[in-house]
Order: sequence, then C-alpha cells, then structure tokens
Amino acid sequence: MNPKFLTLPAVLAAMVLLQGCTHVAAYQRGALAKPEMAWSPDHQDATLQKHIYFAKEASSGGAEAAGGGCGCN
Amino acid sequence: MTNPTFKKPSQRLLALSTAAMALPALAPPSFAVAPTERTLSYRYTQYNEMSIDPKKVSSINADEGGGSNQRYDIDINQYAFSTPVGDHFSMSIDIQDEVLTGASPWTVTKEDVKGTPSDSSDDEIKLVMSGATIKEHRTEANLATTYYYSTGTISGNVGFSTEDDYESTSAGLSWGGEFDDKQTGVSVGVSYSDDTADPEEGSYKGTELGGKIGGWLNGSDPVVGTAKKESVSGFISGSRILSPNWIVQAGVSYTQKTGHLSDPYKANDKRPDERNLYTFNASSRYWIKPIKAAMHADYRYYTDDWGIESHTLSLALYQNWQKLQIIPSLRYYTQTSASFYSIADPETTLYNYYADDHRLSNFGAITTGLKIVFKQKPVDWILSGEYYVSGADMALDKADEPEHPGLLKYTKFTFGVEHRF
Repeated sequence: MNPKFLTLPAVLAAMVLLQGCTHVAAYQRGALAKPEMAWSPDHQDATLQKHIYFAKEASSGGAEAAGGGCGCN
Repeated sequence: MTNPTFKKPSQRLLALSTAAMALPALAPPSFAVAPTERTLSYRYTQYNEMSIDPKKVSSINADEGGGSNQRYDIDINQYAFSTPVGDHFSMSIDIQDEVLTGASPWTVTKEDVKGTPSDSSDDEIKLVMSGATIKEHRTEANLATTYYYSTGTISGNVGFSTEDDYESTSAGLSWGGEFDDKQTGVSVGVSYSDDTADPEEGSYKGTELGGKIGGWLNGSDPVVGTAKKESVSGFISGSRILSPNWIVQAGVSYTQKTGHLSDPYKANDKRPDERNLYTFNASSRYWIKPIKAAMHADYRYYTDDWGIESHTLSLALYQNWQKLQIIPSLRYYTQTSASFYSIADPETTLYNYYADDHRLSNFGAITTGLKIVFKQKPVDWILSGEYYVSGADMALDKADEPEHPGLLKYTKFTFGVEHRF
C-alpha cells in the first residue's frame, strides 16, 4: 500500500489530539445540532450521487456501509 | 477570585440543555437519538449525458444500428419513507427506479481519414459505439432498521437491485458508539453484496465487430452462462466535536471484490478476478455563525491493487436565508489509470489483462451544483441542478496516453418534496 495512505490520517489525528482537551458542554451544541450540519443532510441525494459516481468513475467506497452493484456501462 | 469573563452555567440551565439534547432535532451528527417523526419523500431526476463529437465516433457497426454519438439519458424516480418504531427503533425503506436510454462505448479503434482501421500513431482514436436503442429498466429497494440505546446505535440493512440483465443483493451491519460525554463517536460496519450479470442488450456479442476492427480487438473475458461477483467491505470511522461550531470525522475502509470483474459490455476488456480497495475519508462541518451557514468539506483518498489512485474533494455551503436554504457545491475528482489500461498501444491486448474503458483512464472531473430548498413546514420543496465535466487535462497526474474520447459531460436536474409528520 502507498505510504501516502497514512499521511492524512496522521495529520488529522494530530489535529484532533491538539483540540482534544476542549470540552464542549451539551448546552453549547445548538449549532452542531442543526440538520444542515449532518454528515449527509439529504439521504436520497447522497444515494443517487454515490450511484452515479460509482458508474462513471473507477473509485468507490468510504466510511459507510457499501451497497450492491449495477450493470452500469 | 472569580473570572469576570466566564460565568459558570447554572444547574437549571445545564439540566434544560441536557434535556434539549435528547430531542432529535437538536442532536449533533454524532448523537444517537431515535427519530420522533415520520418522513415521506419523493425525488424526480433527469440525468443527461452530452452527445459525443461525431468526429470522435467510428463508423464501425453503423450498418448494424451502431455508430451513434448519443450517450445515456436516465429518468430516475426515488421514494423514501422512514418511521420511528416504539421508543428505541426506526425503520426506513428506499426505492429507486430508473429508465435508461442511449448508447455506450464498446471499444476504441484507430482510423485514418478515410475511416480505414490503422495502427499509425498519427491517426485518431475513435469510439466504437453500440446502437442507440439500448433501453434498460432498473429498480433498487433498500430496507434499513436502527436500534438506539443510551450511548449508541446498531443498524442493519438489506438491499436488492434488478435490471434486465443484472441482479444484486446486498446486506450491511454497523455499530455506532459515543464516548467522552458524547464528544467522540466511533462507527464500525461490514457489508456484503452478491451480483449476477447476464449481458444481452447493449453487448457487442452477436455482431461482426471483431472482424471489422482487425488486429486491435482481443475480445472480452468470456462469460460462461452468467457472470458472478462478490464484494465484502468493512469500515471504521471516528468523529470529534472540536468546538461549539465545529465537528470533524475521519475513517478508513477496505473492500475486496472477487469474481468476474471484467465489463461484459466492452469488446476489449479482461480484468483481474480480484480487486482490493482502500479508502481514507475526512470530513468537516463548520457553522459560520455571522452568516447562518454550514460549511461542508469532505475529502477521500482512494487506492487499489489495479494501480488506480484517486483524490476527491467536495465543498458545499448550506446558506440559510429566511425560508430558503441555498446550497452551492463544488467537487473535484482526479484519478490515475489502471495498470492494464491502454488505448494507445494495441500490443497491450497481448498481456494477461487489458481494458480500454474510459473509466479506467487517467482523468479529472469537476462537478458544480446549486440546490434550493423551500422550507414550508412540514413540507420541504427541493430544486437542484448539476453540471459534470471530465477530461485528461483536468487530472493532477498527466499520463503519456492520449485522452480517451469517451470521457463525458452530463447535467442532472432534480425536483423533490419531503413531508414530515
């Protein structure tokens, strides 16, 4: 595997560790609770996007459960 | 002595805010809270690939209805329903129905100005297209359920997709947990899919294509009966609240695909029967308080043992303005080619594996989009448009190969409505 694969996780982990001491109390989380702050605010749109890119590009996958394939050519 | 700039919140305020966090509408993305309302939604999407320049299309197969410069047009209907079940469960069903028409590239050929097959490097590489009469109907259904407990969730899903010559069955299981006063989240999941292809319509088989292209064509990986393939995948990701306005997530995934991975619709395509895929994802959600907008940034690094590496960067701004939400978005994608891909060197077909599929070539792509959501509680109306353009000159790494004439451009327009009750 390409060693570059580990570079970005290391940078992000360092960033998170540096911020790790910050405690955000429950009453301070109003902005984080907004629907538009979700990882995927529009489930149907995300599903279709993933399907199109799966059919038109060589890369697929990510930090979520993968679905089935298609005969897209 | 007390700090004049910091007032410790009262116990009453803490109790109120803790109770508020239990409401799903106030739960940050990392929180596991069961939904309290049903959602019914519908989307209609028109997807249109732009025609290819006729100069890039070979006349080969034209006498059998091929030689079309049209690409795919797809009409997509999506239906979704989700509902809470008791206090600790939710269920959802998603259905996606597509009708596809158009033509697809079978292979490439080199031709001189008279349209005669040629091996000269001076001559142009042209697409050999199927007929424009392909018509496919695909239906996909996914059923999912989630169990919510005080510090996490367990989710399961099953999916089924069927089209005239392809069937796929999939299933997944995932767990999400929260730690450190719910500031840190961890998710782990596995999934499996089993696919069967029985290519007929749109395939080059049964035509006299091989004789017309001459020495270039080596044939596709033969399919005995039906072509089967399996996919097993796993992921782990973590999220962390960094400030009252900022949350980040990062994760890795691994997927192994085995079976008939060659494209049975291509005329010059033989791929390894195993592929190992690795991804690293990082995401950020930042609330820009002065303008009441959420900034989304997502990055994915991808690599596999076919020699393909890619980077994907997506940015979107969720801008609230009165009852509207306006969402401009931008995505950049770049990939290197598969180690066995070539359109410049016919000798490649003498090797064990070969392919001239534009999707395995070296290219980059940009997607620009605009989405507008009209929020009229309890109904949201959604309109969106997207433009995708790809090209070899947009890739980060420049390849020695010429640009594949099949790289595409498309538009996508969506109308949707969502009702919560």
